[in-house]
Amino acid sequence: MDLGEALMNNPAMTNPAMTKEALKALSPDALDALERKIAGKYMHRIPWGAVAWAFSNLMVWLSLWPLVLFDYLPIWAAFPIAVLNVALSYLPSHEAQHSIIAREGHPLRWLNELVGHVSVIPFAQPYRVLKNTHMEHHAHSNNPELDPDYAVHAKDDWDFLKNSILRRQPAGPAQKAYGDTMARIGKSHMLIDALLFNLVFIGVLFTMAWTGHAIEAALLWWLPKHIAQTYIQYYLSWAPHHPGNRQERYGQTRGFKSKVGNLLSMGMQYHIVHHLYPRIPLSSTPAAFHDLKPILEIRGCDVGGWAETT
Amino acid sequence: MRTRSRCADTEYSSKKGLIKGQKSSYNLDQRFIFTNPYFGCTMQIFNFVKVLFSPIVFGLGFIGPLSAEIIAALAVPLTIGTPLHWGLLIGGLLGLMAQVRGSWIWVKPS
Repeated sequence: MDLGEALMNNPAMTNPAMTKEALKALSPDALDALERKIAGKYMHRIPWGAVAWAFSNLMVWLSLWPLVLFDYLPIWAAFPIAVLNVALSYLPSHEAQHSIIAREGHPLRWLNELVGHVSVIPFAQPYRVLKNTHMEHHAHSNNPELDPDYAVHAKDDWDFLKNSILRRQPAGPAQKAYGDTMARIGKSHMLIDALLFNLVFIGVLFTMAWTGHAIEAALLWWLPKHIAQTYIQYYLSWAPHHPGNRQERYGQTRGFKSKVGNLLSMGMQYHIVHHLYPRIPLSSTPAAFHDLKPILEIRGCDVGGWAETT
Repeated sequence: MRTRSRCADTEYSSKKGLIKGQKSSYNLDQRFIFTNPYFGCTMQIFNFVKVLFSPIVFGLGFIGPLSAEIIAALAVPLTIGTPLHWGLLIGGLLGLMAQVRGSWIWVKPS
């Protein structure tokens, strides 16, 4: 029995009233061991839900095109579905970026990579660029020079929205941060993926527009992509990292209680757990967060509105 | 390490990942072409990509026909020209503004 396991079997660690006092009495090594042991309970699970989500979401979005073009579904009904599809397309790829579905060498590694690549097709973003820049975000969270997502920081919700719109203007820095990051880590050759994705995206929009289907293209892909991009940036980058002034392991991100609930905030209320243990699947982060909360509070994490909960 | 592109008078610093004097948001494609030996460092490719992804082309290629379809769908009475003429005028002007100012919404990114 290792140290972490021994501590988990100690009644003082499972009694909520005793937990914090008991935890404070532990040595740093014992606290580390206990934290890793608790987190370990939630790792090494294949998130089949995310796999099904990736393919079903893509299928629904792809099916909207013939349904609308052949008049089986009105465009006003397809538009909100398309927005939802594009907004939901990133997270399965995010699971793949962290090799949560299958690590290198695992027999299902091909599935991990397939999910990573295909789930972000509606988002018109390349998996390899997203993955590499996201790893840099984890390695240098909130670092103004090295975090490719640093520019998302803003003083409040409205400032975020204003920045989000301005940053993607032609002279804005939206693409620059990712391009610079890929060059810095020596993987600028992977930007060919971004070039191809952009070519396909623009090619589809132009072809649809000049064959009399501009409104359909705008409401099935162009506008949903912009709305989803803002939504994803808000909940995945801005909200869990605000105010973004701490760079240490337990201060990079925060817990928060979303007014729109866990599903609509894309599970990001528990983003602390993801940054500490990126191999925990998204669906397990709420349970892992609540299990780890006393330790996180002792570590100085900002657990936000969850501080008063047991 | 500092390399000099053979196809353009542009210095590229691989350490900092920056191209001197670069202001455009199209640097993503520019950097790829300048640094990828497999696809050749040619100004023709770079110029093609730069033009294809430019706001003026997007304005004429997509915003124009989109505006025309919206004008037609709303049955806006036109005394001169067709919805496509007006759509291309709107898309072209918006694209020109985005090209010159670097913003589709007039307000420039800081």
